[in-house]
Amino acid sequence: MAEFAVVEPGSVDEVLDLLARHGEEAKPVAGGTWLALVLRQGLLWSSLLVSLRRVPGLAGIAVDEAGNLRLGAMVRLRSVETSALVWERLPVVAETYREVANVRVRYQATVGGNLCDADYASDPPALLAALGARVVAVSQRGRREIPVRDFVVGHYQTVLEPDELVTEVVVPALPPGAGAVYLKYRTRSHEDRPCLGVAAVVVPDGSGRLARAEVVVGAVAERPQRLAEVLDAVVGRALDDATIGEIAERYAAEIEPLSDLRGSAWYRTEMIRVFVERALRAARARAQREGRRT
Amino acid sequence: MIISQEFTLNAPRVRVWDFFLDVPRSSACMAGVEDVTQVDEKTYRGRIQVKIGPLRAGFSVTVELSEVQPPERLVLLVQGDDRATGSLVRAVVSALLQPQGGRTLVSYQMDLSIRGALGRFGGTVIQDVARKMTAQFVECVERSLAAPARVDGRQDG
Repeated sequence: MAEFAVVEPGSVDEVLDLLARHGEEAKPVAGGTWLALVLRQGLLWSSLLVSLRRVPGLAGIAVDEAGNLRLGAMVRLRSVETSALVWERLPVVAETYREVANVRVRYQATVGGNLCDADYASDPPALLAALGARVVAVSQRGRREIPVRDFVVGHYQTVLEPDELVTEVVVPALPPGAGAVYLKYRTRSHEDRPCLGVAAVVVPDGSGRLARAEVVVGAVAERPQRLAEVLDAVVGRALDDATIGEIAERYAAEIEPLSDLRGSAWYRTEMIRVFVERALRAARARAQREGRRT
Repeated sequence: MIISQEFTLNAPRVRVWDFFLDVPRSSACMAGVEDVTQVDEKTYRGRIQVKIGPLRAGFSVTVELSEVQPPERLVLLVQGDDRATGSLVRAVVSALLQPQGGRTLVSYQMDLSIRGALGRFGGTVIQDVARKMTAQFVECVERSLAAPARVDGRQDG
């Protein structure tokens, strides 16, 4: 393994200063579950690892005045999974983080790190994209919010600039009466990464029709797959089995999946059809329960 | 892992063949390839940098032209190693050139094995990288072939 220095700055400003001065040579380290792996294998080179472990203010879970759930970049996946606040406000978020890897990894890996390593075979990005979540990135040049949907651009590649640090993820509240679900499909062991994962959100308009549907399929291509045209086309339609079947059919037909040890491209296409349908039905059932409650 | 792809080039077969066998020119179309030198009649050496997001590996590569049947079939044996990641790569690439009117259909099959750190990433990412590199290669070859051919008195076709 190549030589590198490790620094542990005590504030976000110090981190931003280091990133601005060292550019691509510096890499922020959150939980380090992915970074340690690729550093040890010699696949990633960095002369300066900037540990975020002593930086205050990055590990909070809160709900802001607008009702958004705000997850700090250094929040451990396990903390999301066990947060009473998350279970109360957006249970689907806790459910999804609970599905990642195993409990040892979840105690170490972080919300921000998971998004930034941009591995295609991951669970949270698809859900966060379906919920319309935004990544908050800061640098000495300013602050910007990037929709999770646009965050990953390729294998292990995000839109972040080398001087930017992710500080939190903002997840908007679901509209009243909406149902949301994440279905993870594993083909090997229980701790495995997904063969595919489907996040589905349905928002009924009060008369049994769709005000909006969101479907994002993860782990089947280099970035989460969302078919805007399909989702726009079903607005105003009845939320019945025919509509659900049509969305599933089009997702299966239009996504070009990759092949890996967890499933061939052909197999993934078949499973996209099955799991998009199941996810939408489950989301509809949740929306119906919500509708009865309100 | 076997990767098969085909692409059509907008040039007659003989020109495509000559271009492929002009290793300094054709290798210049491969993203990340550098320091190409000829060792003997059939063997070339070079380096290739593979970049996947922030991840990098750099292989020292030997390419042997193990079967040359002009202007139709070409088989390459590629072997390389990357000291930094302790990865080894070995590939047998066979390419078939078929005339299609004035164009050329190139089908290639690559039997690729990668051992070491890069290999642990599995086939997925590697295949995607191969696909992207092929796309760039095709685009570059198209551009190079569209440029005026060297005048060597031979007729294409």
